[in-house]
Amino acid sequence: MSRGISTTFEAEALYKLPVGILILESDSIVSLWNAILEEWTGIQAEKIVGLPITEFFPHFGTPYFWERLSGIFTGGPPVVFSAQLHTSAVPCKTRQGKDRLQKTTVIPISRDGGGWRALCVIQDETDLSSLIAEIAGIRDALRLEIAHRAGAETELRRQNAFLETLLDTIPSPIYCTGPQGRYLSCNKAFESLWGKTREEIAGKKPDELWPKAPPDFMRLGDDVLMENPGTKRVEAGVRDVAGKYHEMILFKASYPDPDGGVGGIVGVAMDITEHKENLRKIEYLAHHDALTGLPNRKLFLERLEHALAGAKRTQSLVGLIYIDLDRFKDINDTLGHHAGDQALVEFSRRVLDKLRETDTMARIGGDEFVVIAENIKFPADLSVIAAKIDDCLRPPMPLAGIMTTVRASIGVSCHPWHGDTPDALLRAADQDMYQRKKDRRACD
Amino acid sequence: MTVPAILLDALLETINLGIGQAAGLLNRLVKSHVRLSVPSLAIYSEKQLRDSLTDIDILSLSAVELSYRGFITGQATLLFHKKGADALAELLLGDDIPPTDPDLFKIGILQETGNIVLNGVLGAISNFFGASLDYLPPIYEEGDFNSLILSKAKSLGASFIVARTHFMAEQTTIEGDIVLILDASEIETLLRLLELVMEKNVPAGEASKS
Repeated sequence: MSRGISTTFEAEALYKLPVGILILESDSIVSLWNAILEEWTGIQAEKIVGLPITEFFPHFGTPYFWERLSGIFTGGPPVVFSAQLHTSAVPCKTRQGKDRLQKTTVIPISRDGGGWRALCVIQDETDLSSLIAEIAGIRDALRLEIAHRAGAETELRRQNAFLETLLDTIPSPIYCTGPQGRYLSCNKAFESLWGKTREEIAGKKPDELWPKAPPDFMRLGDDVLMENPGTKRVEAGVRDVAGKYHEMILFKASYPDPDGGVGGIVGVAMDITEHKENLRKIEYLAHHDALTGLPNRKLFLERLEHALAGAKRTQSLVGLIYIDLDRFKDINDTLGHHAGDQALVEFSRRVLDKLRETDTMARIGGDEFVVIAENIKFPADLSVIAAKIDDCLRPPMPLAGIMTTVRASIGVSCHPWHGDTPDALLRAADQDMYQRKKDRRACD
Repeated sequence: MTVPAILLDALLETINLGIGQAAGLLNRLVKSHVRLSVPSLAIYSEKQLRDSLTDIDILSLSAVELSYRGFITGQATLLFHKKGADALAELLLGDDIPPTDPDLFKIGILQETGNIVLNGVLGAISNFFGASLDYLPPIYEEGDFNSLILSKAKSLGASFIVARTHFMAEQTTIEGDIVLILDASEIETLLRLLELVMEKNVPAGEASKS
């Protein structure tokens, strides 16, 4: 088992250590070969001790090995042979048939009689190496996974940033809520409308955001959409954070969650204030005379029809007064069209001033006007109104700097005596006016 | 610390002798002819040592340490920075580094290479003074500069003998450098011994006993 080890105790301790122990003399003779090395190599101590190591393992005699070991026999520093560069100092196989990886540390120990021996401590790194390789495999897989996830997260962040930029670029307010009706996010236009940042709105319900009174259209239909997925269109007027009034349409749509339920609501609002104003202008222009602002023939006929329908139901009277300005062509020809326009505007103003709120005055031709008089008690009431109109024209009006008296011929008709249709009443009033004009000309 | 140039030259020559022996051993390991050289040697304070390493990543270092005691006592450390370690691994193993775990192989290479270089240097110093030293088994560690060097300095204001060691493999483009640091806690003892040998012609073996 050993040769020259000073005590049986030391030899036994080294023999039983759970690492490979080999003691070499300076002449390469093996002094100690322990149990672990017997186990690994199948070479019993009795067989190798006392013989040169090179008889069993010739690589110990190679210049590199021996040159490094030679320093040990002069008491030099310890020497390390790594498993990675040499695989093993004492080549042997594991029970699984794999090459056993060994890290060998050689330490000088002094001899009793002077000089040095080499104590070779041989550590089995096979399992450690396998374990490290396995851990390295797991580590590499994790690195790949982390890199993959980092890449995916970067891409996701890029896509989210792009989407946010797109949404912020859209001038319409956009928002979305979650399953509990709490706001998840919104775009810049939404922030500007309500004067709240997306961080402020996140996680809040409408009544938390607007404690006094949440805008109706922000909540309208939400409950229905959460119960019955679909879309909804809400139109309403709202005041923004600065108090400015906006007419808006809010399109709402429920969106699905991954489980097939309703995830929440996404809303896109459109400011239609200008559009609505334009519609009102178009509507007004389609039914009014641009010069006097009075209802035009179309609106007059609609209102007359409406008045007649009401009168038929209530058995009441509807009067119609037909007014034609006398010698209006002369005003245009002598004083100019601008003066003619002035006359029409001034005439309209004076007549409107004499009418009741329930009466409707309209311009149905160049110098032709009508008045619908509803809720009169007697046909004679029409004559009173006609007289008032006639009276209001008596004061001259300044036209192109000249005080000019404008006269008008007035005819009247009354439902139900003169008919129950707009045409019939208009015709009757026109005829009456014409007759009166004729009579006046005869008098003049 | 001001050290006469002649002493520094003597120390450099001794270290170069050990480095030369290490190079001889490395040449037996690899097919290319490896040259190791220590172009300069300096004695640095902690701060100077740190400042001298600004060209390497001191947050990711590997170190082989060899503790010794005897007529001088201390610790020799060979620092490998990542770039130098990679070059050394390429030099010694070439394409044989398994892709599954290159780090483990690098550790083995650095351990053995570090051991060869440190043994060469300390062997040369020991031989110069004709006195033996006792050694502890070498230790391999990884960490940053603070944990590997400064935290182990025996006292504040400790000095270090620093030798930047350059290696180059002929007929290849592989080259790099490693840093040899002798924790000279007894630097004055070492210099005094050197002075005895150099200036007072005391035989080296006798100087170590004085």
